[in-house]
Amino acid sequence: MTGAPSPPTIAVDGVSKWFGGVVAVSDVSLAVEPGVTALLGPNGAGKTTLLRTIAGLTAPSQGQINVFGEPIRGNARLNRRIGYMPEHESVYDFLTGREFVELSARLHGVADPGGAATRAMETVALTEAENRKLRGYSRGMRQRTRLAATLVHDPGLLLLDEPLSGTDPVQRLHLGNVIGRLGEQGRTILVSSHILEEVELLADRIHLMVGGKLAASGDFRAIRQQLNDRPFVVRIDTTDARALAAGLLAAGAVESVEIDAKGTLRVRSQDVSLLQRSIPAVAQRLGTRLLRVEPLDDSLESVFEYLAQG
Amino acid sequence: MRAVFTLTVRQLAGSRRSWLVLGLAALPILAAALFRIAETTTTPREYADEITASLVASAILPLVMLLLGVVTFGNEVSDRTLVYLTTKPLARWRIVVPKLAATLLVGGLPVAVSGAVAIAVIEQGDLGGALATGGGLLAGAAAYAAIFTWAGLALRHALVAGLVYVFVWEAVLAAYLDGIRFLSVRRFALSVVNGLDAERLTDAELGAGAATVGVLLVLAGFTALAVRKLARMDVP
Repeated sequence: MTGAPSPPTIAVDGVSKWFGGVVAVSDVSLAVEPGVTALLGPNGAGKTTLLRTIAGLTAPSQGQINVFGEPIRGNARLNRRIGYMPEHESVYDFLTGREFVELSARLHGVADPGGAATRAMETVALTEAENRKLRGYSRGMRQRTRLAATLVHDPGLLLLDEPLSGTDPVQRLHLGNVIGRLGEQGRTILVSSHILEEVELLADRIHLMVGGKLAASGDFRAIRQQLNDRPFVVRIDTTDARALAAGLLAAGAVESVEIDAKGTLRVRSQDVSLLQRSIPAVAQRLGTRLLRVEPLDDSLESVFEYLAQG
Repeated sequence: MRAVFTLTVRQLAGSRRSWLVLGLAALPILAAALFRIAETTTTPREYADEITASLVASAILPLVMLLLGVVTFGNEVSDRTLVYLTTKPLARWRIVVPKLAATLLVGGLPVAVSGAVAIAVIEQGDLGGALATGGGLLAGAAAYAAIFTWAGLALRHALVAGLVYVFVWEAVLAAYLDGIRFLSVRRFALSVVNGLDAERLTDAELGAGAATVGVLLVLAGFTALAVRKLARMDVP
């Protein structure tokens, strides 16, 4: 006899959230299972609003959220199983790092708050500075202290909003390993980030958000492959746009070209390294001068837009 | 609840406002000392009543409780640290009640003690009068704490609204308009003093029982409103 399948740790069902006329999250449905999952998207994509809604800090305008099979909003008891780390860096800066973490343990009703705080500070490698006031901490140290306070009660679900923000590369690697280990232990960890490389370090599964909507969900490597395959658009100002466009097409370096009324050339290519080699070579062969070469869609937003369309 | 209480005491006592609170709380003792030094035809009883009614209950007590009450939650809302309390497995009343108690300890207690000491100094050791004054002021402080703590959580310009309440409602409207003259925390506090020591503030118009019920209603009502607000608000 097989039992009913257990519900996902987080079940988001048709959730929208708007503030006045501004829609921050639009009809998002997703499920999060144990392990590390990333909520990826550019700034303003609605990641923080969705995380805050999952944490019960704000009510969805529409839709429903269940955590561990129960509604989260107004269900304070459920917080015993959840650790939430907000995006902003505010802390009670008159406390020491250790006091802050121990306070979190006490508020969670941990039996041995002192011992739990010691273990949490060790986990984030901050024991040496634990008795200093938080107002004297660097941004990275604050971030690690907040992470320690988030996991001090050993929760089954961690909601981490941009947890690596403000940390240096060594700390980032360390915290990435800590988060990975916690995921391997069977916890559910939902981590938000707008940095692709950060997500690569942290998570295998991602939910991609763009413009308040869930644009894609799935395996990180598959999404990354799509990213590598995306076409690049480059603007070229040259003394002879028509000749250069024909030369690049003939060389097979571009898949399409466009020349506007001012004579500016825009080329589109799937192979960025071939394009990089071909532009100067073709220009030299044709005797045309290159005045300006500028990639047009290298911004993070354009990357996300492309992935979303895919 | 002890963790929230201790945290709030440290927040309030460590703020710059606490120096202002101490300065304001010291004024009744200063006024009492001046009475002992200066020559005057006013009797100690008259002067003591005047200090209690006009200086402490009308100005110092509401101002001190306003200064602290609006930041009890207000600072955590504006600096976004409130999230560290609301994401814990705590029923909302277990956040509001210890915060109210902390506000009472840091703001109400110094004013009540100062008011009591001032009476003892003016009346040269009248312990009964001092305790009655301290008790009445503490009752008023509890009611003010509930009102201003709710205001700090619910109103965008809580300090301005509180000043309007203190100087328009309490000082003018409730003092002179018959229809609402018993809807005043100041009147409740003074009536409790009179109830505890019948020789003080003999013009108090409310019985001690009614005044105590008034204080309890304000305390319970605004505490309930703060709990409701905290449960329903979007925590920043």
